[in-house]
Amino acid sequence: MKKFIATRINSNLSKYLFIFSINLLLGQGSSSVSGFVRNDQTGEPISYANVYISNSTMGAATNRDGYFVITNIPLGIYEINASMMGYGVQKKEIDLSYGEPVRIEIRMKEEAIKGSEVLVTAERQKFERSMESSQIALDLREINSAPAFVEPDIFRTLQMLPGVQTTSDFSSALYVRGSTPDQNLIMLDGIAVYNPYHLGGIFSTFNTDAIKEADFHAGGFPARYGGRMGAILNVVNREGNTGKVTGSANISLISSKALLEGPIPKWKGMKGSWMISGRRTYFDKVVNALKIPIGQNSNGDDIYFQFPYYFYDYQIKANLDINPDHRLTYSRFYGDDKLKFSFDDPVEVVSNDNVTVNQESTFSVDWPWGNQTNGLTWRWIISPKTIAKTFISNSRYRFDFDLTFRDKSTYIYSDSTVNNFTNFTFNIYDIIVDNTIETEIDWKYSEDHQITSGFQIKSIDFDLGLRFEIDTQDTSFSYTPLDLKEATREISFYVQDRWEVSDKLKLRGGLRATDYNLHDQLYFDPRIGIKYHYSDNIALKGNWGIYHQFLTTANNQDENLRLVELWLGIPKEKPASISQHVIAGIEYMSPRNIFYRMEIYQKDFDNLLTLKQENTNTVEGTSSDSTTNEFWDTRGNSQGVELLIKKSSGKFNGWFGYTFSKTKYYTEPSGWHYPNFDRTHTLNIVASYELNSDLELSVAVTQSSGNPYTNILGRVYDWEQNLYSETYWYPMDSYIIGEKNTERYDDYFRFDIGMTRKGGNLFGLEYDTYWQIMNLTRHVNILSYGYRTKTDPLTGNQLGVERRPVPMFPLIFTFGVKFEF
Amino acid sequence: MNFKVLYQVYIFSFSLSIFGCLADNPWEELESDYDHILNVFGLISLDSSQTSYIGIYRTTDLNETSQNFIGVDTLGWCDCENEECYCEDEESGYWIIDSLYEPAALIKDASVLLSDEVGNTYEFSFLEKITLVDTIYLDTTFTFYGTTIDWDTTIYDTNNFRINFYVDLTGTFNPQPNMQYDLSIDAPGFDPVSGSLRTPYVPSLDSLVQQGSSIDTLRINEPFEIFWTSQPGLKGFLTGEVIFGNWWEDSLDGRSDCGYFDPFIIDYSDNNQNPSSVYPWICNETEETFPVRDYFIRLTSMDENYYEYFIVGESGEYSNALLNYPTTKGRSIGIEGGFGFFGSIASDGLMLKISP
Repeated sequence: MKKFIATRINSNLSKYLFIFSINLLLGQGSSSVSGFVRNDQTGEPISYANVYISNSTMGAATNRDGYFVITNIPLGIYEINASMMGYGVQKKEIDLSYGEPVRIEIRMKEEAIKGSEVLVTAERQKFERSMESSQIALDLREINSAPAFVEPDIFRTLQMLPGVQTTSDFSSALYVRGSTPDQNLIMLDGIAVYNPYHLGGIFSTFNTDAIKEADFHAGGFPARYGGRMGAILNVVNREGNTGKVTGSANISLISSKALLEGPIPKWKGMKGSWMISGRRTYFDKVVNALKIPIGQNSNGDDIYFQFPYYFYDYQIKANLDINPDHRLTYSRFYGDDKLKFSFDDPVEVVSNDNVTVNQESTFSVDWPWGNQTNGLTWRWIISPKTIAKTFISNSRYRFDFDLTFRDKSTYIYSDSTVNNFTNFTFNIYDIIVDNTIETEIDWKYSEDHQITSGFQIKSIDFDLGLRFEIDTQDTSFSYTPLDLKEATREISFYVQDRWEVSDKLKLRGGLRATDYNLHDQLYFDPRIGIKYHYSDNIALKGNWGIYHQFLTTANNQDENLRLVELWLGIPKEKPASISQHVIAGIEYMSPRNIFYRMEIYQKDFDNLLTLKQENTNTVEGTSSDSTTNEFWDTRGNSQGVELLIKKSSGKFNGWFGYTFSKTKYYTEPSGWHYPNFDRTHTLNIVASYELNSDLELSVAVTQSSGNPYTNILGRVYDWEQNLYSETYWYPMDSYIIGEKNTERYDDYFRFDIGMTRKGGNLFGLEYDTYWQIMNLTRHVNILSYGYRTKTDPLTGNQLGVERRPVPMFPLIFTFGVKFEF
Repeated sequence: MNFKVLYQVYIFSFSLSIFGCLADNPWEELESDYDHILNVFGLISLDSSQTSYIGIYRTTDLNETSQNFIGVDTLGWCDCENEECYCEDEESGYWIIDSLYEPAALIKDASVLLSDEVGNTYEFSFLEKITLVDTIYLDTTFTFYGTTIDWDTTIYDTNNFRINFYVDLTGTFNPQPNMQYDLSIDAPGFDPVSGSLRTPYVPSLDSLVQQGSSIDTLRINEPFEIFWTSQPGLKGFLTGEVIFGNWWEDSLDGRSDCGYFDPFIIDYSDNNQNPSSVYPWICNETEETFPVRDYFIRLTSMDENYYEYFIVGESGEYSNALLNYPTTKGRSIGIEGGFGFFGSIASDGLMLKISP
């Protein structure tokens, strides 16, 4: 039985000690107590709270659902305690004299820390209980305290953690220990989200106002997670206030957000809560309201500039407790980016003696892209020791780019009228639909064994295409150079056992088996974890695992800016991507609850797919210039050392992270090379400090090695051909490039500060204001280089090649206001 | 806090951000540090209308002038009665003058030898400013595959045609099909370059079938089939297009994507491609707007080197939208000791009429 540090002497000591001792001596039967720990004010479950029986070593920590179970308690009457940093200690008397398991609900009240109370922070609970290496959970406060771009963003916060890298300020995508973003399983309430970004990756799709916490695994994750080989991020939304209807609104420079939550009225013993939140950018509305003239139409009316882009998203979550054992949870997310504009050329009239011609044309682009998820979870507490969760979800990502050109000419002759028209449509689309059903059973078999088992059926439809259509008055023509439709299905079964061998030694073994319908083999992913408590405050950890992945993205590897991701299932003729993680680490939790962690890792990849770039110097019209679904077989590896020092409580909190890493990929044409996201050294500091109850300051500093790029060495002619009636060959200037990604941009540095002022009041509404300055030092971080040929203006002589940096974020000042009601 | 203050902060924030964005980063000159090698374009043509030639250049540095201005060339007279000429008031016309440049990379003093498998050796000599088959377009009329075509001469960018190559000046070089040729280049200051190829067979276009009948005049916007004589060899390249008489009429229906069919590669070993069906799409041209025109179909056979260089191409290895030129690792197809290629072609053509 492990030791709990939190005990408290009280006046009932002698009574409980007596009963406890008698029961032990007499060897009578035992019982259990289980239940949920919730925030008294909002009803939100509290994770990692410490629940223990007074004057004993018996206790447990709540899981992510706020659930706990303490078993093998001798019969008797006890005082049960729940503690958590930021909440007052709650006590309840429970009567286990009759041997029946008892279910209780503990509601904890937020209050300031009292000096005499000995409390346990969530960090310590995680330190003591977690078997997994490389795991970190962030709560809303931590997400909000890290300066982000314009508004708080969970991905921006994660980018500040050790092991997580990025390609640029403009991207919130997560490159984790050598893995690309498509290797990460990003989940919202357990539902996979395939392209969790807005505006080409500048913002994540997750509205932080709705987030309760985020659980991030940089590697070595257990068998219950599968199908990806990079990292796991599970974003958990708030459940909604069970007590009353409340809300908040947030206005930043680019968007407005609102959240409402409240209880579901009780009915026939059922109760529950709901939460709805939404966000929309309003820059388009502002610009359109300014009415910036850009010309006139054929009627002489002014035409105004219309800002063509906006994004929005909303999230809904509802929980219904049918009875104490059964709960249904519905979760929905919908988010879209929309780019839409059109130009109408004024009607042009040309006439001569014989004919009058009216010509008009329209050009338009309509491009929506985004995600939609729906999930229904049924949680069934079969017994205090056994919980089953069944989960049905649908996740859809799509982008659909439509370009249309319409041209119409009307020939008016003296005796007739002829209409000619041409409609040209270009459409590129990618739709991925993921339907998943999953059941997981969590069984506390004994004090020493916790077994988790489940199955998952994941059916994914991919539809990636490119289509041209041309219609005229007398012909219709369509061309579909790309039409990839795939239906993949993964059936997985997994089982894992967490075995507490002794107070000091814990093991976790697991196995995941997956059948992928396009391949004739069963894939096995064994996972092993070990944890050794050297002392109360020091733990050693090790994790090893095999990870398979059955889908990939078809994007250019050199892209620094990625607007969309093109998802594909692993083709039939290609083996599943595979990765091996080996992680070893040491953790130290100081008496003042400052968490120290150092980890080393080795990660190997094989059977990765790298999209072939378009061939150069090919003849237009031949098949070899289209490589949308052609890949280089790729392998790779990544090694690194990471250090994290994190303080999660008190007026001053934040973390310090350092990463040393080396990632290399191998493709046939480029050999071994650094991918463009590799950064050898990365130092992150995130800190916030409460000056007083109304004012909080935050700082974020990042210093890292520059990202790799490919250098140009000189110039050479390549030749192009023309084999029509005119036959000739002509030279084209080309740059000779060096070995791929062997050069590095200058070191990256960014210093951001932020301030939150609380306690404002406007017409009776309480509000907080927050301010941020990004890149305070105006450091020029290089996204890429732009090149030009220097030309003598008099003679036209081409004198040489010049370049200059294209910078990432300049100094940016943002602010926002958050109202609560 | 009121909305006026909010608005002011909004404006201030955007101004600050925009000014931050405008931080101007200076241009820096780039330098190179590598050993230059020769860069060769070698073509053996079995077409009588196409000269075989060798172009020899070198790689250049980034901080080096890539082309030098050497003079001007008068292309022609643009008469203001022609609406395409951009004239000032009361101007009757103007001469079209083109600037001439010479690549700094051009090598003029190389020794170029070509030898065949039967022991003949030909010395190619540098000839400045030669024109190739395109020269004929500079005549007012010219004959092409038996058809006389009127041609406007005011359109050309001289630099497309002013090409400095090594050619056979003795008139003895007469390349043969299915013959191996070896190339040897020596240029002072550079590693020697050698190359080798086997010429393709000359292809033969046989007939055209449209709407089930063999034809010599195509109907617009109707698919037709092209037959050719099977031959040993690798690949052929098939093109077809409406022939325009002058520059002012280089498109149909005002669009550049009409009048030809998409060129494609023929694998001579694939009988399913003989015949091949194509579609001579000419956009919205009608009987009223589309007179009978010339239509030219060409089938070009190529050797392995040519196919590898121009059809297979180079797998892109690095892309950067901000590079003003494409990139290459430097290719050597059919040659050793330098970049470039040494390849061969042979073609056959059909000139026929196309009508509504």
